[in-house]
Amino acid sequence: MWSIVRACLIAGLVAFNGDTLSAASPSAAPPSAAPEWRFSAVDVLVDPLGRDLAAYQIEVDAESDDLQIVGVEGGEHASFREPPYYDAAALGGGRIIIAAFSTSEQLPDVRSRVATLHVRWRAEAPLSKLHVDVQAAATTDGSPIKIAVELVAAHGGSR
Amino acid sequence: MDEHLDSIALDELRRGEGSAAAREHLDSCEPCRAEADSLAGIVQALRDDDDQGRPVVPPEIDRQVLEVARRRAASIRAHGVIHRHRWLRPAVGMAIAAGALLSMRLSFDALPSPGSRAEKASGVAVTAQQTDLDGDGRVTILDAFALARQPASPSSEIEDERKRSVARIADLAVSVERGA
Amino acid sequence: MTNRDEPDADLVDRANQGDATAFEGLYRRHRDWVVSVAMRLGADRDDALDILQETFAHLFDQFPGFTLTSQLRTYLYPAVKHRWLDIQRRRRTRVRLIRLISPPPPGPPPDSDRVDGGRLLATLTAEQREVALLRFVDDLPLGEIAAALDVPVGTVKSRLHAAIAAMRAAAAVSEKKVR
Repeated sequence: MWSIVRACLIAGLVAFNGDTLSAASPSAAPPSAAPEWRFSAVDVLVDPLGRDLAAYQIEVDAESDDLQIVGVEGGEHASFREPPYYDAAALGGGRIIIAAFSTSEQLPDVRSRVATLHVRWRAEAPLSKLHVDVQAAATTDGSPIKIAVELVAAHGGSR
Repeated sequence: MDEHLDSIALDELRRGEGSAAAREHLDSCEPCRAEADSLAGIVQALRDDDDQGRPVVPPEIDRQVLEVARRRAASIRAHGVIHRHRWLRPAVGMAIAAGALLSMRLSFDALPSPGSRAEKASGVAVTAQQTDLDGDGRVTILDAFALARQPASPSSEIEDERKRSVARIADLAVSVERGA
Repeated sequence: MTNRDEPDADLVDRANQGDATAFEGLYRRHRDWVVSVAMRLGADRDDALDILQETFAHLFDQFPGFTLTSQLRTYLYPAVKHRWLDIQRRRRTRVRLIRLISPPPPGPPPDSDRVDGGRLLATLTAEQREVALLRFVDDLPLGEIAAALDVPVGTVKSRLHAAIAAMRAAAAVSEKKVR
């Protein structure tokens, strides 16, 4: 059984404090106001460590009421450009499983964006606790492979 | 409600939607009213811009399209109402079951169709073994991938059904109620 | 006979029975919008008129047996988009998303205090622009936009939120310049 890669993604998420936030902030918030809900996008990057990535299944869990996963989009590589499979019932919650496969002969063997998650969150959200579990990954013939997964803030808002 | 309204909430109020609490907040919150006014200005600017430059559709185009419509309507009246969507016939389902896919321990009939969350949850116990094609004790995307990698059948109906089964297994794999 | 208040669903029902006036009613009601959407995507006048004809020919071909489960525009939008992409593929040229990806047009005249919609749109990504126009110009509910674009409602909200933020920023810059 392949090992479960658990990656807590922090550095990229810190960038949420950048353009997206400042552009969305009310111009004159009174100091007593509660944190406003905001939207941002998170890229899901997969590194198949030199093997051809043909299939993956990943669980993303926020473990916080201050962060909701509200949308899923496909990735950058042609083989994973379509939105991955996910449970629509997961939208609006903090936990989602995304999965995709490709029977293409042109598969990524280096780190590439396979999906983008849209999240709604509050200023005090513990974004650093957002973590990912790899539940399955395989190469062309279906045999399991190890992959490394990283979540980073998508710059420029939604794509 | 002591939180400022986000842009989506302001947009809903602009359309006369949104909650009474949100409306009450807007009425009493100057910053939110300013945001609402700003949004209204943006909406108006987009509408003004969209009105510019749209061509007038020439009458000959109208005539051509309406001629297509007239022929279609006449055909419908002549042949009666046809039910366009054909569902997989039972015989085809049996043929599939007897075919190559049977060897993969997959029962199409047992696979849950999209339904309520409760239906999905109750269907999992029945289907978990039948959808665990790679025999690793779990239903994951690799099971859907295994089915998708099988050689294509010359029958388009069998192929269509296989695609649906791949999608159903994948849906099971990502179900958050069931987990992995 | 059709009247302006007859819901699309009723027109669809009558078209399913072979009523030519119902087909015409659907066409006249949505004709200009289809042209408008095609031009937003980048089609010129001739392409937009081609798309108009192809889109309605495709729609009519769905009858009888066509079931309307949401607004007709939710069905028409991807049909228009698909046809525009087909045109691009046939020409083997780069997709010309003129209004969706073109650089910002020249600034407003110095004496103008009006916010220019084209300038606002130019600050958005293609996806943000698509959602903003469907919402603010076409007045579609969020769920219908999600259906038209085949994305979750949350994605629509996210794009809309980002679009509003970007357009607010652009409008604020315009106002400062005018002053």
